[in-house]
Formats: sequence, C-alpha cells, structure tokens
Amino acid sequence: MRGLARKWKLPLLAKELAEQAARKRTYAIRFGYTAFLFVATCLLFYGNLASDGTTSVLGRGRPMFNQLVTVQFWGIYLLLPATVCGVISSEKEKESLSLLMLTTLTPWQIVIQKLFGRLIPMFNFLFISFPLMAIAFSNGGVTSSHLWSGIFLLALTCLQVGSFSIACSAFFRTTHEAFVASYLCFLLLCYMMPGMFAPNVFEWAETRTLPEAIAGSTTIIFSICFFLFFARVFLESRAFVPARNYLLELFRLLDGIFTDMNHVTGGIVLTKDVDLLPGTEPVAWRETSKKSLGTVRYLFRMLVVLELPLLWTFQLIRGPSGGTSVNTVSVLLYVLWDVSVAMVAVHAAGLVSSERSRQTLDVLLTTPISARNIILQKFQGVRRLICVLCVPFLSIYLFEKWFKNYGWDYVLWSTVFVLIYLPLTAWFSMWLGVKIRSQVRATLLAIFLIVAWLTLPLGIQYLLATGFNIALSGAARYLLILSPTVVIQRIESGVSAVQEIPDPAWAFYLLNAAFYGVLLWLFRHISLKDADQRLGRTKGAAR
Amino acid sequence: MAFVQIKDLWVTYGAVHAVRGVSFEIPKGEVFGFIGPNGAGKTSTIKVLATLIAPDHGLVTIGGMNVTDDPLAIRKRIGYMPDFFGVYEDLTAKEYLHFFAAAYDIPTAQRERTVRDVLALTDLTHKAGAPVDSLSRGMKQRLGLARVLLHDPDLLLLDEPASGLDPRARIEMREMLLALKEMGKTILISSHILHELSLLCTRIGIIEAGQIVTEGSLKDIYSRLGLKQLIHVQLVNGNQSLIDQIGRISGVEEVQVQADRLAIRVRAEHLPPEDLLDRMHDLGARMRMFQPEAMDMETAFMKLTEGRTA
Repeated sequence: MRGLARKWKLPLLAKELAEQAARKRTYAIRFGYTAFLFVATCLLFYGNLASDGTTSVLGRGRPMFNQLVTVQFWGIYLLLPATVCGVISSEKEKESLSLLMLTTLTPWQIVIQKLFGRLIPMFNFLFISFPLMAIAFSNGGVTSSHLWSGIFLLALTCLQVGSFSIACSAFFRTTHEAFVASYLCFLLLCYMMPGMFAPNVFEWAETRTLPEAIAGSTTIIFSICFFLFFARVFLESRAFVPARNYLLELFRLLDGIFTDMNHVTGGIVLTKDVDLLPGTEPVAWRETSKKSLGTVRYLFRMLVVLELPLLWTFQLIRGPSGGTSVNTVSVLLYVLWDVSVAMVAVHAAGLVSSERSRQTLDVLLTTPISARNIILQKFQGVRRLICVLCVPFLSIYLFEKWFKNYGWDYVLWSTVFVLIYLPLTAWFSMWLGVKIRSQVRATLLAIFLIVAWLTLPLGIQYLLATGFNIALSGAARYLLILSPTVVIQRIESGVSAVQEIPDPAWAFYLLNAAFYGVLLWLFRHISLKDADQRLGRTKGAAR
Repeated sequence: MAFVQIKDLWVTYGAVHAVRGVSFEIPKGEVFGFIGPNGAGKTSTIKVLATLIAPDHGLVTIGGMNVTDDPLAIRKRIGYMPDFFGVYEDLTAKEYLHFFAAAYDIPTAQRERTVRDVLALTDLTHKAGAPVDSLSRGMKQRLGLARVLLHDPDLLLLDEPASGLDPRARIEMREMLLALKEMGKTILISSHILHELSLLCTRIGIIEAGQIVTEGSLKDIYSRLGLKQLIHVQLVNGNQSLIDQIGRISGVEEVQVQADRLAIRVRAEHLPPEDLLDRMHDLGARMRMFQPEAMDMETAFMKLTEGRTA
C-alpha cells in the first residue's frame, strides 16, 4: 500500500503545478482565456437566441454547441503548444535535465508528469466551458452522442497537441526552436493528414454515435501514442545535444550542394563570399555577415524561395489555360504578410534578448560602443531582411497593377504600408526584446500582441455582427480604419471598391499611415532613449 | 593616490542591500584578491567598477575618474571578464577577437598584430581558426582573457576566472595572471580558490554580507589574526634531540613529526622562514627539503567570515 502511495506521489507533476501556481502570468492567462471564452461564446449565443421568441429557439442548441467547441479547438491549438513546448527544452537550457534523469523517475514518468503539468490547466479551461455547453444542450438539437463526441474530441486534441509539443520539446535544444517547430510542424502534419485534425473528425462525427466518433478518431489516438513514444526516445537520446542553428545548417547544406553543382554549371558565382573582418561597426558586421537572416547569400536564397512560387502563380494566371484564379495572388499576398511579420518579429525580438540569454551582453556592454549604437547596429540585419521581403511584395503589387488594371495609387499605398508596418513590427519586437530578459518570452509576447492587435478589430466586428446583428456604421467604421488588417484587405480588394471606407479613401489611408508612422517613430524612439539603462549599464556619452 | 578607490559604496536591488558601505583602495600595479562567500557582494562591486551598475551611494574612481561621470572613458581603461560569459558561436576565435578589437576602436592597421599577440600570450594561436563554440571551457576562459587584453587596459576586473576549470587549465590561468602581474597590470580578481589567490595577490579584501571584513596585505592580515605559517622540512639527520631543539627556537609554535617530514608551525611575524632556515642550520640540521607553505588563507577566511549573505 505504501509502495502504491509512493508510486502515486508524482513529485514532478506536483512541482510543475506548484511552480505554475506561484507565477502571476498563470492567473493572467487563466483570466484572459476565460474572459475571452465567455464573452465570445455569450455573444455568439446571443446572436442565436435574441432575435425570436422563446419557442422558436428550441433546437438551436446544435450550432451554438458547434461554435463553442470550435472556439475551444482553436484555443487549444493556439495556447497549448506555447505552454508545453518549453517543459523539457527549458530544463536543457538550464542544464538541469541531467539532474532530473539521475533521480529514480523513469523517462516515461518524466514525460507524462511534465505533460500533465501543462495539460491539467488546459483541462481546467475545458471544464470551464461546461456551463456554456449545458446552455447549448438545454436549447435542444444536441444529442448526447454529439455532446460526448465533442467533449471526447476536445480532450483528445489536448492530448494530441500536448504530446506533439512535448516531443518537439524533447527533440530541440532550445525552447525557441521547440516553439517554432510545435506550431509549424503540427500545421504541416494536419495539412498532409486531414484525419489528424480534430475539427474535421468533429464535423464528420456530428450525425454519428459516440463509438463511431471514437473509431473515427483512431488516427488521432495513434498519433498521440507515436508522439509520446518519440518524446520518450528523444528525452534520452537528445538530452545533451549541443545548440544548433538549423536554418544556418540547412543553408550550409545547400551551399555544399550548390558548390558541387558549380562544377557542372562552369563555376558561376552570383554572390561571392569575401572573408572580411569587422570594420568600424562590429555588431552590424556580425548581424549582416554571420547570421543566417542577415547574410546576402542566404537572404538571396530566401528571396528565391519566396519569389519562385509567386512567379509560378503569375505564370499560371496569365497563361492561356487561366487555371488559377486571380484571387490566388491575394491569398499569396496575405500569406506573405503573415510570413514576413512572423520572420521580422522573431528576428527583431531575439536581437537583444538572445545576447542576454546567451550571457554575451555584459561583455559587449563593457566596450566603449554606446547602447544606442549597439541597438542601431543590431538593427541593420533586420533592415536588410525587410529590404529583401519588400521584393516579393513589390512583385505582387506590380503584377496586380498590370493584371487587374489597378492604378499607381494601389502600388503606392500598398508599398507605403509595407514600408511602415514591417519596420514597426521590427521596432516593436525589438523594444519588447530589450525590456524582457527571456528570448522565448519576448518572441512569444511580440507575436501574441501583434496577432491580438491584428485580429481584435475583425473579431469585434464579427462578434457584433453575429451576436447583436449590428452592422458597422458611423464612428465604428472609422475605428476600423486604424486596423492594418482592414486597410490591407481594402487596398487589395481595389482602392475604388472600398465599401466600409467612406470617400475619399486616400484620406483614411493617410490617417492610418500617419497613425502607424507615429507609432513607428515612438517605438524607435523609446527603444533608443536611455538605451544604456535599458540594456543594463550606466549611461555614457554616445560614440 | 590609489589607482582604484572605492569609498562607502552601496548597491541595492529592490529591498536587498547587496553592498553596504564597502571601501577599499588598490594601488597601481597591485593584484587585489577579492574574497567572500557566495552572495557577499563581490560581483556587484565588480559590476560597479565595470560600469554595468550605477552605485546607489558612494564614490568609485578608477585612475582618478569617477565611474559614473564618464563611463565611456572608464570602459577604455578596463578589461572585464565576468564569472559566466557566453561566446558567439558563429565566430571563430580570430573573428571573435577582431570583433572586440573593432568594438574597442583599435585602428584597423594594428588589429591583426594585436590579435596575433594576445592569441600568442594566451597560447591559442593554433586555435585561431576554430569556431569559438568548439573550444573547451579552459580555452574559452583563455579566449576571454585574450579579449580582455586586446585594448591593453590599465585595470583588469576578473570575476572568478578559474571557476569550473580543471587543474591543468587552472594552473595555466594562474601562470598567465602571474605574467600579467609581471607586466605591471592592476588586477582585481575574485575567486574561491584561496590557495591560488595567495600565490597571486599582493593585497586582499574579504567581504561578507555586503561589508568589507578586512583588507590589506596578506602579511598584515595574518599578523592581525595571529595566524601561523606551516613549513615542511625533510631532515637527513633527524633525531629526537634535534627535533626538540628545533621546537625550542623562539617563534616556533609546534613541531609535528610526520611519516617523511616535519611540519613546523611558526609565527611568521616573529620568525620568517629564512630565519628558521638559518637557525636550523646552526643547530647542525642537514636538510633535503625546506618548503614554506603559502600562508593559510582558508583559515583566515574561516576565521573572519560566518557565511552570512547580504
């Protein structure tokens, strides 16, 4: 009996939960998530119930329930990887994993307890939605099988996403890498294997019984087992791997291939590497000649990766078959915006915070370079990245101007917003990176705040329209003008075709550009002002 | 005037007073050993000198310049090596040094020679082209020292330079520091390896709970504490009568007969080792070995500190 009690003590799980309970941000996330869930769901429910009399709402529980479950699915997909991806990699970063592995805990116990340390708070979020499910259920239309299928699939999704993220955490050396892989690789997996994507199964199981829903989830259940198995294997096999720059390694691998191919192509060299040493700006030199996202050769390669699909799509659209819709270019533009903002944010947020986390900042700060200069020099790599990213943007704008017969004002405004939004993203992320000591936290927060800012106006618009049947009018319309998402969408749909934006449209674009231009100046200014103290040294005269 | 002067230094982190009224001076060319338990305030004091932390109160000058008045000028005169420091994994050892040579504004024409010199001094010439990340811990420490020496600073601030090194690397580091001492550099070095500090330092300061417990030359401190020095002697003609006579020499506290030697404890201020050697010679002792042990700094440290933190 005593042995059983000891077996169930779960010391690691207890430690994980105690640690989380002691952190302020646990409560902030809990409050934010529940507030969002309740407000969003109540508005959606209100839209379903408010319009008609009491009897007419009977049977409307099903769409309400489906909406609630969908919100929860996206909550899990967005929140859980971020919370799980660091559980093992952070132990590697703190070099405490070896101590953990020297205890009597088996690798399976470590993986499971670590995983449940993060899943239990997530399950709490699911339990919180039970009263809302009860409201949907009481309105009729939801069978008990459908109800249980929804709950089962939500729990399964938590396990699936959690086990995938913990496998990434066990595989990668840093939380930063594990974070990126948790989202990107999972997205890719779901794209390649739709059966692994729980919302698809939920949709399929809508008219089926619970056992059928369980049978339909076989792929998900198998994937959980696979991910947990790999997490357990990686925990041991990759416990002491050195830090690696995967992007740089990939580029170097490509270098080797291209060098080999060069014999065939006759020794053509587009960008020749010169073994230069730093001149007067050593920090800028390192950013632009040693980093994967700063070096001309690698940036050129990235440009090719971004530009080729665009040129291919343009060719398909303008070809005689016309097989691809012109809207595909708009979709590509939105994808390009997402990729560019993510790249710039991750790169800029890590500029200073990575120096801190790698303990190289103190040494740099005792040199006579002023902190303002350090930041400006560090920014040169980001500036180069932004310049490269401008090329595919311009390609799209010029193609659309030509193909859709848009005016030059379309190209002008579009380019203006690229030149404002991308540097703004960079300076905002840089500012967070200077303020926040941890690189992972700075990156996460930068991306979270940018996504929140971009989706908030549209979310409010959607909820108002769905929940209260309120179409935007009057002053509310003007507020939306301040959203970059709205402006990009409206410009893309054609300057003259703008409906929400009253004439003259250019005045509102100008307003938006001025607003974000001021924000850009502000973030640049506050990042550079008192930079010495912010970076962590006494103030000195500028060099 | 002392090269480094600290008067009534206070450093506070929130409600914690890490340094509380620390005062000491380091004359030019001296090696000052800064000793104290973990959390005593050593690193905070060194960080103030390195212009990384502004003092909350007190006067800190280096070469007559207040560290808060012109930190930029101070940075050109100091070389700081923190207790833990990372390196840029994407650079080679040579590039790493060139990076900092540029950061210290060393003229481009001089850089190659300077880098070559410091690599030679730290015995890293053969590793110039190796990625910094591939170097061993000891080599990284040496590279850190090479970086510190690039701009030929007047003052070296070395925070635990030998921590985590194996015996060979520690001895190499000590040899390098001795060479720097010979070159006349002023060095402030904090370490937990007290025996090594006693071989290097001309002065020491012991700090505990943010306050200096004692400061001065080693001899002064031992004499203040009445500590004894241990001398190991191997006699060829060692017999009980001779040992008794040695025990009666004025200044000798105790003679302990060990398996292959005598361990003689003396009051160093009354009987320096060279005088003991003369007296034993006068008594007819024929010696195979006469080895005075470095002063027992560990005893001094334990006697002066209680293990409190700030």
